[in-house]
Amino acid sequence: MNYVIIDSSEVNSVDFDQVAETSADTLRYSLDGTKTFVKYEGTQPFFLLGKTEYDNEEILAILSGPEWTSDEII
Amino acid sequence: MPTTIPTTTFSTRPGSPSAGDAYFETDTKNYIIYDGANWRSYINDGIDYGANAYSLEFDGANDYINLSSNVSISGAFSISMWVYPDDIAGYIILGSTSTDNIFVYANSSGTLQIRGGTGFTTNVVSSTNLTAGSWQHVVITRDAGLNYTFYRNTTSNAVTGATSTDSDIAFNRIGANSTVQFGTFDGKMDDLAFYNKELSASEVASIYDNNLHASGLVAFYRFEDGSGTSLSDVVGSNDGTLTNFPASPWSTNTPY
Repeated sequence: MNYVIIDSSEVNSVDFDQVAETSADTLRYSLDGTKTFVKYEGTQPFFLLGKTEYDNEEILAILSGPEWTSDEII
Repeated sequence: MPTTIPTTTFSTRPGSPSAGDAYFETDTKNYIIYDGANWRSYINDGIDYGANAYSLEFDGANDYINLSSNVSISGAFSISMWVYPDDIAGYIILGSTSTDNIFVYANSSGTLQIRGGTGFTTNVVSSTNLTAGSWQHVVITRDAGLNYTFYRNTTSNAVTGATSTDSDIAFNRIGANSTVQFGTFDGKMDDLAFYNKELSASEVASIYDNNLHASGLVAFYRFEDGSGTSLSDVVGSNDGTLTNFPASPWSTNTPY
């Protein structure tokens, strides 16, 4: 599975038939709402060409940071 | 060595039975035993156990399941589930989009807790730690006095803040909370069951040892769908919808 981070302003250009996410309503956004991400298997969809791909381990490392995850519940 | 019980149907029960004769009715799915005067029927529990062929893999990024309605709980209840964490990173295992926003969470040490509730009145932290890379059976119980107990692989562990004041809670999401911003579950899950009673230690052991579930089930997700985007509730109609999952998230790695 490949993951690509996009700006929230680009959500309108996402073809949800080519990514695993169900719809714009189910996307996970950064805490400030400016970024989100989509994932896909196989070839990078055309509308994402040129954007950095991450694998699962890489995206989880990014998502665990303060930009994406609220302070841990102790 | 299995014992084979002869089969019959409701309309073709033997006409001249002897006391002690026993059959399995293939149409009603009940066992019947003749007591010398009448047939006595032992009613099936309605659960299709079948084979445990599948579990479901959550990617830890944004996979979660929305239930079609709340699993509403008042007073005593229990949750039983098998989990196989791929990583211990701090994530929601069960959550809710209802106003009480209750959630079951494992922190970055794997410590299990149940938090939230109206006014955040549920704040129960166990000493039960999940570990990565193996199947573990987790049970959370609450008695009528709202006192919580956590079990991992049948062993109960000490908890802090064990008593809640929030009797009415509702779960409706698996793998994430309402905002999907406390981390989402990373690993496999199987056989998630909600009960309307406090399971005893022996009932917990019966599930762990023999996959025998007690009475009181209000929702039971066996994760045997194997394809598609639905998660079936085998005791009710509160099915779930897989959200953001890839095309083939079903795993043949199962806990038993």
